[in-house]
Amino acid sequence: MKQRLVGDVAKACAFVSYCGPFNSEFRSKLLEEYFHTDLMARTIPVSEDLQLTQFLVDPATIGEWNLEGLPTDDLSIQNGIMVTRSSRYPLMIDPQSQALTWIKNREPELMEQNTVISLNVSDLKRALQFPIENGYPVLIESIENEVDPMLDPVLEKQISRKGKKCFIKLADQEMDFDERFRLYMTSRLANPHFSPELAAKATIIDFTVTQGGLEQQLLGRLISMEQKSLEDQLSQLQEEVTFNTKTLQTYEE
Amino acid sequence: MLATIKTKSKEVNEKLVESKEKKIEINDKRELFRPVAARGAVLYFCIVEMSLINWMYNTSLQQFLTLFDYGIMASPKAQLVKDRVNIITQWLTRRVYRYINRGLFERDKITFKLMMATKILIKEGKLTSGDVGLLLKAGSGIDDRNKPFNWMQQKQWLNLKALSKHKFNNDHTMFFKELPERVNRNEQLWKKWIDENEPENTPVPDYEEKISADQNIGHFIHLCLVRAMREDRTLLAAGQFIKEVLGEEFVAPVTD
Repeated sequence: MKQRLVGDVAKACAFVSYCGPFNSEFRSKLLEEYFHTDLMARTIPVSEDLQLTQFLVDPATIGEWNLEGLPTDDLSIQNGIMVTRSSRYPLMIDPQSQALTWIKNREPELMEQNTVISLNVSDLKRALQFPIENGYPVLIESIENEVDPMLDPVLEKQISRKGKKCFIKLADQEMDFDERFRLYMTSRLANPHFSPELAAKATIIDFTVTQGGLEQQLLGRLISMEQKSLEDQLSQLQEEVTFNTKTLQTYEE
Repeated sequence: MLATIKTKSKEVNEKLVESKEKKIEINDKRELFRPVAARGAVLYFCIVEMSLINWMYNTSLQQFLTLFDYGIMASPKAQLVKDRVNIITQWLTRRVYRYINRGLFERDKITFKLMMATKILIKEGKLTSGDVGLLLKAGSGIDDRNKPFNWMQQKQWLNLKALSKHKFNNDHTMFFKELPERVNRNEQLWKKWIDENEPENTPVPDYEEKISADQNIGHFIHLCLVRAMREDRTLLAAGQFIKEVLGEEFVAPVTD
């Protein structure tokens, strides 16, 4: 287990960094055919059947995400990992608005502070200044192929430190940077052409719904209408399991 | 302190095991409804792909979900879950068809129906996308200049060759393996069938029995054969195929 950790971690890192823009088919192809064979060729010890989702996140967190409205299929969970784990800010390809729903549920402050904006707001700098200085999340909706270059310092995290405080320079204006600040971006285009520069600055994640994923969602929807009790039982159970697993973890510590 | 935590942890563990069992039970019950969800997903992707034909055909997921909910609520109830699942599946398919069909240009309507029919069969595991590829492309991918029959057009011969090499639904035997040979042997009969006014309604020489014996995809194989030999009759044969897969009302003229 410990010996293979090196390869496992390398694989997981490669996954989070590079697999975002692809659909599930290509993701597994990359993982199994490319990353895995490459690790083998370099004789780095790696687990044969690494369950990436389980390796990167515990079931309790997944349960939490599902309660927040993230679909339960594997692709969506992978996406959830990338949104939360990536060091760069996520840019989500989201033609069906599923990521949007999830993020809005996940970050209630978005609605409270009214920080859901689009790129063509009259004063982007002002809209960003308040959340950056106070550490609130920002969601930029409906990005098209280009992103305002004004955002670059934020995306690249050009933060300078002076003593305890952090500063960022946004359109010639220096402002405080609160570490709790988070930026999300979504695009409604199904097949956008982002520039290579943008791909390097943000983590592009494909949230496009898949047939299997949709099937899972429709099943939940159907049962909540047909046999309400069943779905209630299940989500109650899920909540209980989430809670119990968490308490168990605290005990173990 | 440690002892209390130990007992508590044991309790929680028991609870977890219990909920695991319960979860399996609930999941089994949920699985009964799976066919409806599967059909719903197939229909949604048919709709999405229509937008590739014409940008105006874009339909949002929200719009589809409303349709989905309506299909469930409006359909008649049934005592047994199995019956109910069948009813919803049919209602949903019909609802979606009528709704989408209304917004399509006349020339695209048959495409949509054919897509629905083939996708449903693919989902049921009766067809593969390779089979649909054969229907669409036929013999355009191969090259063979040695056409043995003078009365046949070059294109028909290539289609025939493609058909004879195809394995339907990944079956290990090729359904039409002996087709060129049989046509050679029964040349007059085949020529007559191909020159028929309505070949799609006339029994196929040599293969009629074998085609109707195939419960699952006999209708599709027939459609492929008509398409290969008489391209001009393909749409009519497609209508028959749709009727057999989806039902009478999907080919009946709609006025709304």
